[in-house]
Amino acid sequence: MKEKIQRFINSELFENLLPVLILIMMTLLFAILTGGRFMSATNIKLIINQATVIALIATGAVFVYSSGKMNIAMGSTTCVTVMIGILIYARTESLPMTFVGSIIASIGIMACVVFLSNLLHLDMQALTTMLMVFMQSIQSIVLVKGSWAIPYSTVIPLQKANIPMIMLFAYFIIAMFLYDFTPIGRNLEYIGENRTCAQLTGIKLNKYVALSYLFCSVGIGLGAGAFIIRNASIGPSSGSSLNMDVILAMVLAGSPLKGGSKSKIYSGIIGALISVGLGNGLTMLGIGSYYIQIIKGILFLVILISTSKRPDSLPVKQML
Amino acid sequence: MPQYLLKCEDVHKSFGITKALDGVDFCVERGKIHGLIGENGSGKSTLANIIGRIYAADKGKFTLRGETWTPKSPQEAFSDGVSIIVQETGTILSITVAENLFLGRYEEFSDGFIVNAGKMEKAADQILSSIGVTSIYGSQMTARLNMQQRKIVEIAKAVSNDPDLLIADETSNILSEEGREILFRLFDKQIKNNKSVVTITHNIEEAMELCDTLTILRDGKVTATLNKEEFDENRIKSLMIGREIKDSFYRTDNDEYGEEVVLRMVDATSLRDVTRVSLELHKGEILGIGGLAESGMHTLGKMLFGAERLACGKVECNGKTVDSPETAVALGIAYISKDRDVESLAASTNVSANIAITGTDVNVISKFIYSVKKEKKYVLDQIERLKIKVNSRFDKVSSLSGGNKQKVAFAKWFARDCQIYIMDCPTRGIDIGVKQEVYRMMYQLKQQGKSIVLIGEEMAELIGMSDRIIILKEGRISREFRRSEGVTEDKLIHSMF
Ligand SMILES: Nc1ncnc2c1ncn2[C@@H]1O[C@H](COP(=O)(O)OP(=O)(O)OP(=O)(O)O)[C@@H](O)[C@H]1O
Ligand SMILES: [Mg+2]
Repeated sequence: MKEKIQRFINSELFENLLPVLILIMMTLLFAILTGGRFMSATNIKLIINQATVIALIATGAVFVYSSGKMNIAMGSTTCVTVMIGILIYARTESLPMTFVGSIIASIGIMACVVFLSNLLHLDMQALTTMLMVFMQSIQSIVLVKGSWAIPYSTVIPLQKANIPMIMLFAYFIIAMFLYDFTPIGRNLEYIGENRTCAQLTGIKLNKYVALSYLFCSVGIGLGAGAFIIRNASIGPSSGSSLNMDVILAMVLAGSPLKGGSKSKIYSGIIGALISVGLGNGLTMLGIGSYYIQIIKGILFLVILISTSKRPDSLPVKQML
Repeated sequence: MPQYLLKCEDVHKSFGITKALDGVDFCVERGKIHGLIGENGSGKSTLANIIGRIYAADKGKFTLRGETWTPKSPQEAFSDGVSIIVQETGTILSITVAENLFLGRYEEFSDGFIVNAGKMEKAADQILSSIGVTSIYGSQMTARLNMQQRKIVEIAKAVSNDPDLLIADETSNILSEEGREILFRLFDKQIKNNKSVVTITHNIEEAMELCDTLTILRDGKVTATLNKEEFDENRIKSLMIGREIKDSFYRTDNDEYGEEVVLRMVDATSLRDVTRVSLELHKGEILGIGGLAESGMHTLGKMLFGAERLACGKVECNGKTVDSPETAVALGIAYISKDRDVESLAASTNVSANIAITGTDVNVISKFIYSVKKEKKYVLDQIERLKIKVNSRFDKVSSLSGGNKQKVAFAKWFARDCQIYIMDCPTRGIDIGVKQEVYRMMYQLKQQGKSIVLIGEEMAELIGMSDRIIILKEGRISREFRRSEGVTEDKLIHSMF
């Protein structure tokens, strides 16, 4: 019996189910601790609304992370994209134009970075670090005089119609199709497992890395749209925790940061729910937002340490 | 009355549902070289790793120098005088040679708090030169060394403690002539000092010549332990495989090959060790390439695949320049690297993903949609064809035995329909049964009009399989032989020096 349990715990099925189990356990725990308030319809709705933005961004990010690359500028790029979206609204007063424009803008930003990376032979990962700093400065410099906004009344019907949820659903279906039902996901995961070997297998590394960043930017554009629908405004420090939240969402749902075959396309959604639910539950219990950030940070570290388990044989090192 | 250094009795070891060792008795006499042979996955490495305490046995009694022996870690086994050179990569690439040599023993070189790197590097140089190696230094970064050199660092590490028992797990097949000489000299030294050696190999001639005793494993059980006077090649083979194996190992024909040149290298020089080499590979030809380890033959294989920067010259296939692995694969070229853990396989993922990766463009329904069903057939066909020993196709590659990993590296390219196969030491670490199968497949490929570049350190293999053999010496072509000429091993070796 004990052996059977052990085997189940080591199995892949369990590994895949674990994030869902964590989500359920966390929900139950908070429901008990808050005397049911956590489970109230309004609160659940709040969590889902908040999680949608993160889930949109994180779902796109799976493409990048599965190949062992990183994009730490996702949150700040989203904020700048929101700014561009609001500018577009100011010009056109058309919400559809705003959303389409946001997606085009974020793809544009990423395309520039990909182009630079190919031109200068610089690693995408290094470039996204610079991108993050660049985007953050734009946001804080431009918005220093005050927030930008569009009339809140214009987004209310969209909130009522649950447009962000619909966007997430549609994007998730497309992402899942591309990741699991075309060769793209398999190639990205193989690159994440062993770059040298992937290259010697004839996989077009540059093409796939560029592709993955572009998919990621579509998620960012949609995330920006959902952000606008939810908030209708952006200030100099809005979305400052978004960078961290997205990455936390991914590791919480078991996607390894070093990439590879354990990456799962749905981890963005489940991770976003866990991450937002955790913050929300702790707030209900009266813990200050400052401490919540610290708790999340520690959690992040714990997960990183526990998932980088030592192999049980001698090291089979990968050359980068 | 034989004097036993080590006695292992009734050793059991399972990995999940795999029974790797099932009641093995294994005794090593002093002053003897004890060979351990058997098919891929028969449990040789597992036994060796248990003696070196890299794995713990599930059950078993161990006696060292007449006393019960229960080491708790590899370090403890090492300091008790039991050293092992493992089959897999046993060095860390990101540190220096000296750091690898003294891994886990840094405190011996510390002045108070900090480790004195200079002192350690000097000690490393001393150990290396004491075994006759002068081309590797303690201060070098390990990543700069090639596979053979890294193995030599591991050998140096294993003997640095003057062990009573030296275990070498398929060490000789990574080394070329000079490396093997170093290793065998160390074996001799052990014997002279009334110490012992356990060596694992798939080269039966080598084992028969070198060893005083042979233990044959099959499916985790000992099928026989033979003394030198009982050695008989055919008997050993059938004890290993469990059936008779016919003598014709290599191809016996003198078939010609086509006129058409399918791959051409013109005056190519690499940034490393190949200088101005020109060669042509013809349709249906098996072209052997031989030489010493430093002759540049391994680099040459990579150059033909576009995986090595050229200082000048070019490689052409079908009128197109081969300048990257991407173009090479698109042109129907396959490359099986000698360094399987780093270059051929993604060890941390499963067998299926590793084989299927070469077929992501063919395992589709209409151009775009991936077919899991086609993938399954693509993978299972190869597992069956090469008899890869797995519980399921989703077994991790890192859990396979060395030879079975090599089979996966093969399977990956055999599954795809390629025109040219560049094989760098393709039969390294695979057992005679599978070897015969691989040779048969190579001949089949030739008959189908495919071409093969066979880079090898085993002379018999080159002579047995090639239509033409090119010998490299210090990065240049030193001689060329034709199959029809009646090539001998002596002639080949002579042209290498
Ligand atoms: N770490 C591991 N996890 C799971 N299974 C393992 C592990 N190591 C070995 N095995 C299994 O144990 C069996 C014996 O493996 P072992 O490595 O001892 O074979 P071997 O005789 O050394 O073969 P080879 O000649 O191919 O090196 C194999 O079926 C292998 O798949
Ligand atoms: Mg082995």
